[in-house]
Amino acid sequence: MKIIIPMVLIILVAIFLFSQSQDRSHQKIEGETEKLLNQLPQGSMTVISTEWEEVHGKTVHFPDLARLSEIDVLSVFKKHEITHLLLTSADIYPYLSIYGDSVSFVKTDENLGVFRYASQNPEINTNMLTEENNQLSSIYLVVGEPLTQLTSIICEFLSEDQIQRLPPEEIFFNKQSFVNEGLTCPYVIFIDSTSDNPFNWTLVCVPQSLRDSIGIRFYLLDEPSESFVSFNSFYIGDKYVKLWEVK
Amino acid sequence: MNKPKFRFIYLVLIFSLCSVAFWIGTQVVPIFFTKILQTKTSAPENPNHSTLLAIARRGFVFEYDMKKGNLRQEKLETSQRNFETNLKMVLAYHHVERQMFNVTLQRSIAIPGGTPEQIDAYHQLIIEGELATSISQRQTIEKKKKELLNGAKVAPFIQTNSTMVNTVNNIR
Repeated sequence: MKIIIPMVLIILVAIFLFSQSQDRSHQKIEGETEKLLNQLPQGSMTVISTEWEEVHGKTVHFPDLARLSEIDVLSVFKKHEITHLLLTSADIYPYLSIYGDSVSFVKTDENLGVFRYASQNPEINTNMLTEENNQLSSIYLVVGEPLTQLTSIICEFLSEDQIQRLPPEEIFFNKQSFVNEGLTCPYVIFIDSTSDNPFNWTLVCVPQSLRDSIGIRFYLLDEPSESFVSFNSFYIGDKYVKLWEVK
Repeated sequence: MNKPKFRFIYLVLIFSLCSVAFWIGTQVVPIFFTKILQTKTSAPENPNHSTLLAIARRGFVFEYDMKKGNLRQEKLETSQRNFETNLKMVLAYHHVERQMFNVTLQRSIAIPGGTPEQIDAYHQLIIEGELATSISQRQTIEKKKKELLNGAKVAPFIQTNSTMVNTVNNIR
């Protein structure tokens, strides 16, 4: 009995501390968001995605914020007197298809070496094949020497009876962008090639229809705009937050 | 006199421990399952198996397909220089186990008693067949293949082999 009482007390204290630390980290994120919004000029109104908790009088929720284009949102923002736009990495993630869950180096008998990137959640039901239940099954890269040279890129569309291999319309790789002309598929590929080894690269695929979304244009590519001027960027918890001023 | 009092304390302690265990369970079990789903999400099919099938389905025109993707036009835009950093921030949400494979692709055509010219012509027809976009084109090519063989047996051969290189946890 003498042992049980201190043990129970220790357990209770540990649980109390554990729950407090969880609450504190949540409060810290909310507190930092509020602190950030307080730094904005008086009367500012920031548009945020529905992932975030609304701060009364300072924020407005906007569903599917990251996938909308500048033209879609600008007049609505002006009408609601929105002064700032806030996007986080979590807002962008759902619109991307990430290829790199399975990476193969394919060596052919004609001595061609190709890296193939596949995804557990590929782009599905594309318009590239007439058969339904098709998918953008994989993306192939031919990488030259040194490994920072990209020679060729091909997207493979697959269904039960059909197969099609076509280059994507636009590619972002190693601080460069490439535009393919002629017969292409309407996708944009972003290549995370920060490692020297292509086995560690990750390919991000976005439909061309989302190329001009504010998530891609402003958050991912930092493209300049006359109406949205970069205001600040910072971490809140594990989220990378970017803020723009609406002009 | 003391016995019922101790029993009461004992019951309270047992009840407290059970409550605490239940509470810990409600906190830990969802976290545990979330982690499992994040790190061990398995593909609906073996991704490497589908790799081999996809490569083999257009195996004879593999090099031709890759050449179609050759990069020609390049434009540099200074405003896009941060995209790799921005991309990393987004990819931080992607928690999967990465599987790596080495794959070999070998192709050959054997026609017992066939001449080298016959084999070359048949090879060309296979390529045309893989590139055909309509059923009627494919039917025409199949007819030409039969005419070319004139009853001889043929073994077009595509072999894909793979070995696993590594598996790494992709949590950044």
